[in-house]
Amino acid sequence: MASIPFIILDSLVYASWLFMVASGLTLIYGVMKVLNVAHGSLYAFGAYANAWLIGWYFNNYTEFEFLSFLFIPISALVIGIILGFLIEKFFLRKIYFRDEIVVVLVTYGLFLIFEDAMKLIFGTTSYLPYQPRMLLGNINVLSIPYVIYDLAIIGIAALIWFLFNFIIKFTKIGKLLLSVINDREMSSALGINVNKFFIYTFTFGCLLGCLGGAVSAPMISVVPGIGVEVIVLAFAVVVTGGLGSVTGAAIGALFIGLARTITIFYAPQLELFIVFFVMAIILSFKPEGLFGSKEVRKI
Amino acid sequence: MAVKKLERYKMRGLINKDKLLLIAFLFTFISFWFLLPDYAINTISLSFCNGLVILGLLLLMRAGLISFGHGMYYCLGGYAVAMTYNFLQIKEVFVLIAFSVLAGFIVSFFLGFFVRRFRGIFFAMLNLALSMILFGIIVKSISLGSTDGFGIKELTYFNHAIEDEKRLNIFSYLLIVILTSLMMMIVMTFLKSPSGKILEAIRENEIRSSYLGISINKQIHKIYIFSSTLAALGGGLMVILIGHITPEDTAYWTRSGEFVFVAILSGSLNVFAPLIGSLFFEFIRSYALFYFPNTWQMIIGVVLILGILYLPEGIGSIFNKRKK
Repeated sequence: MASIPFIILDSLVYASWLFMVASGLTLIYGVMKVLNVAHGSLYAFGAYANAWLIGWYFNNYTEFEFLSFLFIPISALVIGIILGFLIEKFFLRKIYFRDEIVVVLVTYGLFLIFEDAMKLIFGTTSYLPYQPRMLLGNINVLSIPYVIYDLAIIGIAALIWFLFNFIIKFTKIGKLLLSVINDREMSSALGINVNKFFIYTFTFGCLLGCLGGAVSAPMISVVPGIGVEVIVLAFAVVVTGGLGSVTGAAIGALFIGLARTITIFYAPQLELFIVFFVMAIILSFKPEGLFGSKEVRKI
Repeated sequence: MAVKKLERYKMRGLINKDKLLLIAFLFTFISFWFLLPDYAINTISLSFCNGLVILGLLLLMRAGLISFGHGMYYCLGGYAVAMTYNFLQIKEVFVLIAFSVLAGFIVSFFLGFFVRRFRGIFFAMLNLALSMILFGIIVKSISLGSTDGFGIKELTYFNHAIEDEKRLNIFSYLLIVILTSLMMMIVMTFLKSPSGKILEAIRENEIRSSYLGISINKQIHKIYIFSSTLAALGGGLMVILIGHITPEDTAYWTRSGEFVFVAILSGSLNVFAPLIGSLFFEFIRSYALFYFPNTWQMIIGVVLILGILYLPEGIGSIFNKRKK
């Protein structure tokens, strides 16, 4: 019983991490109906870029250590915008009219290409950019020592969730986006530039993926193959929460985070199993996910 | 007289172009054993084992479904063979294969009740989840071999022990080629039968077909079992050929992604396409691995994207132009 506060904190941190990765995926699906497998490589790219920058900085400079936090947004912005723009412009634009599964496969092909490109660019040795996480030190939460950096992730995830809701509910861009989501053809007939919305949404989603990677780089060792594991977890979260729903992704992340942390505490060998087990259980009761909308089928 | 008999068979559909092609296909590949070097034969046999999985995916694609977790049944079939061999000490190949088919059949029969309610991307993702559950179970349990998997040693064919130490011998090759052709034959006949034609109706418009009195869920359940059993058979044959199985190579999602990749590249127009596609893929992979050991994934990715952009109907569309 004494471990309950541990469990709650750990699952919150894990859920926030999951949400950061999954929010971009669900946004892209919600607007464009593209399930982006390459999201995993964007995560890995962000992590690598941040790790490389941090390593470079701490090898050459010893003062102004707090500047290393700047590398998180820098790497996310640079990598996310460049790659997101290129992928949308040169690959996805040509196949929007094709079946959903075919689009998934194109992103799978991009994922394979990126996996090897990363090995060529960053090598196969592991990066350990632990310094920023050490800088913030520890804090006692209910007499449990906890790393502040990890707690800050909860804040970032909450901020992302808040931003999403704010933009969609209270800004003009959000209203236009909703109309694009609801009816692509009608909105373009009304004079909304749907292509422009697609490219912005995709780039923003990619940016969120890179941000997830850049933020988690100091917590993990950055090695080849991190993208593969992340993308299946993100899929599980997104499908559980309902494809295309950001709040759904948040709730799905909480469910899966909690289930995973409890299993790690009491039956660690079931860790990998439980994530997908929760997903299968939830889907068996609500086939479209927790917050998913029922699709209207044509007659 | 003989000609008249032939005409009569043709009319009854017992002989047709596809069946003759299949027989030619079978004999060509049997003759390859004597013509081609060992590594090529090995690649051919392996691609036939995987081709069975893709043949199963073709059935699902006919109904407009795709599974991102068919590696699960591939893995199940393989483990059925490896575990029967190791725990029950059964060395007879045909019994082992029967076990792998049975494993695929039973598991897909029960999971089918659950899976058949889903369509489109949810069907694909749910299967992915199921295969990852299997992966998680195997990796974390020591009694199932964990990440090391299982190996098998010498086998017997109808109680004849094979002296040859190599896994790839004329018996295993013939077994794989003949079984694969047999399965192609079955799938071909199935697709021409009324239940096979129903699949296309379901793909084109599910609600209308259900108004015509077709029980959609039952049909989907049926082909799910059919295709999973084919995948399990493929996995079983793969273990007999390679002699080893690990969860990483079979049940992990990247493997299933590869299967879907070949299935989409092959298209669902005819039953030869999956086998040819699989053959093509295995050769590309082995050459890419040999010449570009560090960037072979990149090459496969490029092939995939080019294939989707320039061969929208799959490899099958080269041989089989759809009549408009």
